[in-house]
Amino acid sequence: MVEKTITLTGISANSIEDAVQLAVTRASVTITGIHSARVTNVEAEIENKRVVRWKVTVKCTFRVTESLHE
Amino acid sequence: MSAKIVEVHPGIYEIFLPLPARPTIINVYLFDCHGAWALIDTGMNLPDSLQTLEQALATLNIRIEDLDVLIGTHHHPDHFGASAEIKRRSGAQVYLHRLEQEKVARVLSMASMTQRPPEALLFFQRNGVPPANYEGMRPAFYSNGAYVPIQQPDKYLHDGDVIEVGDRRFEVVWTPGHSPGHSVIFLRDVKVMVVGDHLLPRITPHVGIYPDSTPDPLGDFINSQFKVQNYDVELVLPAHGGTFHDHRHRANQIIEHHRYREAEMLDLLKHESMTAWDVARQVWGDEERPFAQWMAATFETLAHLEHAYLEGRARKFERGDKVVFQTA
Repeated sequence: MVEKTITLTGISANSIEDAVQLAVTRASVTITGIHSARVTNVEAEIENKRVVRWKVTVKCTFRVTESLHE
Repeated sequence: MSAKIVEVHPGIYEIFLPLPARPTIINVYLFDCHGAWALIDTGMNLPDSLQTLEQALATLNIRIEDLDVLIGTHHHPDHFGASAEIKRRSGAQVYLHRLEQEKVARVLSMASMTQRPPEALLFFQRNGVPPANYEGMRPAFYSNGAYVPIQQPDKYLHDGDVIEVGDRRFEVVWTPGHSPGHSVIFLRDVKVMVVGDHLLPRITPHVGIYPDSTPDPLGDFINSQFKVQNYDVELVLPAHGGTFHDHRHRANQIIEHHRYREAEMLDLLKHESMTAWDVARQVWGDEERPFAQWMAATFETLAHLEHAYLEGRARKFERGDKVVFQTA
């Protein structure tokens, strides 16, 4: 079995958790079977002394499947 | 055979017609019904498109005059723009969904106006679109002759109808969303589906809300993505991009795409309310775009927000003279 891991950065105006979820939701448009997302970096964007966006780097892992040519 | 026409299945031909803007090609489909010829979609009513169609047909030793049936998947200029010319030359029986015929009438009436109607200006304003020279943004097809649709089809398409032409049976599947009467055509015996703009392999079709829209076009579109999955299809023939095989896989990708878009929008709206325009500027904000594209992005955003509102995931309320949304 082989797994593949891709690195994405989710950006949420709301929370770290939402940033992770957005990254996973977007990746799931074209990838099926993502089973884990490891958070490797969290960055807060600041404007006028306030956090306006959470930028969270996640490594999403999914199993590589083979398609048979029929 | 010319590169502009390809036989994608025995007796079924894909013809590539040029468009003046992106996407730069529309695929129309010609069916040899053995004793009759049927065409699905027309391209625009522009000289190079009609000439390309003539040349493609000539490789099969037929002419536009030989077409017997013309089916429009929907009313848009690249799909139905040359329908009057093809009807004039061939006398073909023209089929279109009734809701699309109403759209034809509306587009022609808008094209004849010198100014946007007051309800459109109010609609723009309420959704946060800043004042602009809207009249300078009239689509080119209003005035360049690219859109000359037949104003009254010979027959309306109805969901579930079967149109028999020669030895072919064209089954109508109503797929509202991109346009209210959009229909795809299924050939059950060969498991071929002509999908118009409903299922494109590389891009997603525009689904927006306009003053004359049904309440939830995005909900309709998503339901239509589920609906086509009930059919057993082996070859998918889209209006833009290459033919493909797995319609269920692509339909699910498109559903996921819109789920993601909504999540992105609702994230922005968790702590503050915004107009559709403001949300569109943030979601599509990284690129320079012509103003008309920002308007299209706004109306697509509005389709997402109204859909989320109708399903209870967003709230909608008035703020001053604007309509704003917030996550529920």
